Amino acid sequence: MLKISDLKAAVDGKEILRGLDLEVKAGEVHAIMGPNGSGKSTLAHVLAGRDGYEVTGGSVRFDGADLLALSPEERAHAGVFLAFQYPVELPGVNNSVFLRTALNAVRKARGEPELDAVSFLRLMREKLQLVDMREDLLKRSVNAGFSGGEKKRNEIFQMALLEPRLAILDETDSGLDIDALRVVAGGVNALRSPDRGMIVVTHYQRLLDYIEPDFVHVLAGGRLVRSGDKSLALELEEKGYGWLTGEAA
Amino acid sequence: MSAATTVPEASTRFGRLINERLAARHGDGPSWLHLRREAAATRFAAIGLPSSRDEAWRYTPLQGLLSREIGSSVPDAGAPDPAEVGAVLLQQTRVCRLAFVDGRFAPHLSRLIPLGAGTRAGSLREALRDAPAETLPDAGELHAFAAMNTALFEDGGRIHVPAGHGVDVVVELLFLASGRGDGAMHHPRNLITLGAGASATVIERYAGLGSSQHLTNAVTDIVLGAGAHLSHLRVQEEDAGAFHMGSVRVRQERDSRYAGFAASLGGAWSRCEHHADFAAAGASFAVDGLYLAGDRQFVDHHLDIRHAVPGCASRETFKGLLHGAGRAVFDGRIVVERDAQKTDAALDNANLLLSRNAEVDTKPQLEIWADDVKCSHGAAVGQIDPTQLFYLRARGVPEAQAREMLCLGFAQEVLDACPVPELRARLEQAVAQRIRVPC
Ligand SMILES: Nc1ncnc2c1ncn2[C@@H]1O[C@H](COP(=O)(O)OP(=O)(O)O)[C@@H](O)[C@H]1O
Ligand SMILES: [Mg+2]
Repeated sequence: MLKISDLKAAVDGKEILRGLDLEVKAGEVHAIMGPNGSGKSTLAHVLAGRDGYEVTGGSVRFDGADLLALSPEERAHAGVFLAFQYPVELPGVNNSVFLRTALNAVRKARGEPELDAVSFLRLMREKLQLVDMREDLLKRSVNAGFSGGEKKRNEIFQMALLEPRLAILDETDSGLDIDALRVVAGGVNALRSPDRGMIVVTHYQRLLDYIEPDFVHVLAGGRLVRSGDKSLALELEEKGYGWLTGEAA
Repeated sequence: MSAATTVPEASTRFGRLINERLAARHGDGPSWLHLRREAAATRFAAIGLPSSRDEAWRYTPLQGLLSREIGSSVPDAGAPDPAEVGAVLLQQTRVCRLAFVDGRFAPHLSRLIPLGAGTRAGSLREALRDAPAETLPDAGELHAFAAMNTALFEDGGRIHVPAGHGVDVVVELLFLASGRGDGAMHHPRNLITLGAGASATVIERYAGLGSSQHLTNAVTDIVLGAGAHLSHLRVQEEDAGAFHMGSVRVRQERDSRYAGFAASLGGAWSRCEHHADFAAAGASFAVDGLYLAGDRQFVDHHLDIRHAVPGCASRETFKGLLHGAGRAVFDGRIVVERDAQKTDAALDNANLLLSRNAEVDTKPQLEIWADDVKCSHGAAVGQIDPTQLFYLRARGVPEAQAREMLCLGFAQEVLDACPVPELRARLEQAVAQRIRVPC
């Protein structure tokens, strides 16, 4: 489904990704771990198509097509979803209007009919339960004044609505207390499916207790320096990142 | 007569026009009013039209107005038929409407409904016929436009709510420009007084039915008794060729509340001023404002808030959305005098520029002479936030639509303050339509 080959990317002229390879097949959950500043969010943003991240080499194929040639909205239409590490506040933009606009844009691109108000409301209520989100958050401006936990729930809620083919979760666990983490992870697990791929980016092993990955990769020096199964995450928890990045542990 | 192009020339021309028209109206209305009008004409001659040397007019170009033959014609009084006006009228809101066409009261477009004992909503011209001189506040005409209004005003709304009375229907003062013939000028004058503890919601709306180059020069005087509460919504959606000058002057007694809303969307040139003056402690004044300017549009908002007594609050939040070659000016001035301790004042202006050619001059000012006060002011001029744009696009919203959503979101924060849902919805639509025009 996703094939990243020798990907190189720079921010402000500084090369952050230096030849990264990764293949994600449908149904797989890949965890990408790495110290702060190692480029995890850079990778997530490059995949989602954010301006200012300059791809200087390599390729990304998504379902056989050149993902990097697409605009951010085209990537979303193709089924790529990024749950932001820092969800963006949109003051004055009503959350449910936003969700409906997004969903209908994606549906339209897929050749599906737009949802009417009633079906949309029904769908929203169903998905709200998945992340245990209060309905009144739909009436507010997108993320504006939401607590950290509410913002993260809103991200996973959007993912549940948009039903992407590939979900990239950037530090979805950061800023969550243990109860919220359980709920959010439960939502993610409910969305695991044989035809959906996931990349779970995290700094801590903690999240992986709840979302069990099929593969764990360590990002350091702009590449994936080590790959393994979930036991690698436990090893990292124990030893830190130093033994892989060349620094003292 | 050729059009004047300099300020002194135009002042002379307007001064002459004022005298001619004033002479023609001798005997119309009470004698005190005629004296008041003559004094205003004299004041006009003495101060003349403002120039860019006047601090309050520094960024406000008058050239466009001066170079046209405003005042050279008097439109025929042929009133538009209701069908022509239909689209402008509020349909779902229970309103008591006083309609004026080209400055004259238009009973057939009005909708007078009883407002309860002692409450009055009607023509100011009628109301002044037998009224004593103190009825009409004498604000000492700050500038030539206000003086010209006093000298020449034809009519406008007179609203009075007696003490302790609450008006539960919305009263609307609707000023329509017929759009027949260029060069007309209208001077609407409104007077709204609320007795102690009274409350009302008043819409003051200016709309056009054509595309004439006319001048609307309006003055609205508002006097709020102790504990009175007025919600005042001023909406300017004039024709594309219109010049619009509007002054709102508010005088507040103890514990009264003025909740203002101002939207300036239309006209080629428009300026709206809010002047507030507190007579006693505990009063609060607030305005939420939104202005839009695109190609061939200039829009200007001035605030002049004077805290001379202690313990009053004022808050103004204005947002501007500028596209094409639109130009805007925001000049807010709050003065807190030495005795005005415990003043709580906040002034904020934010502008969103959607094109390289759009321009704004923003100048929020605080002048504080008291030491125990809470005051803040802020101004921002920015473009669409790329992070917000990316967030929407990453959710599949196409770029053009995402920009539109962000612009509307920006305006929405002000529109949410509009307490009449139908008017709010209409404004939302008008803003959306304007944004959709390629920026
Ligand atoms: N917008 C940006 N401007 C400048 N530098 C950036 C930007 N985003 C990331 N960086 C830099 O890129 C490197 C990787 O950052 P990031 O991808 O956010 O790491 P991680 O998510 O792994 O913590 C860091 O050195 C960071 O300072
Ligand atoms: Mg990060």
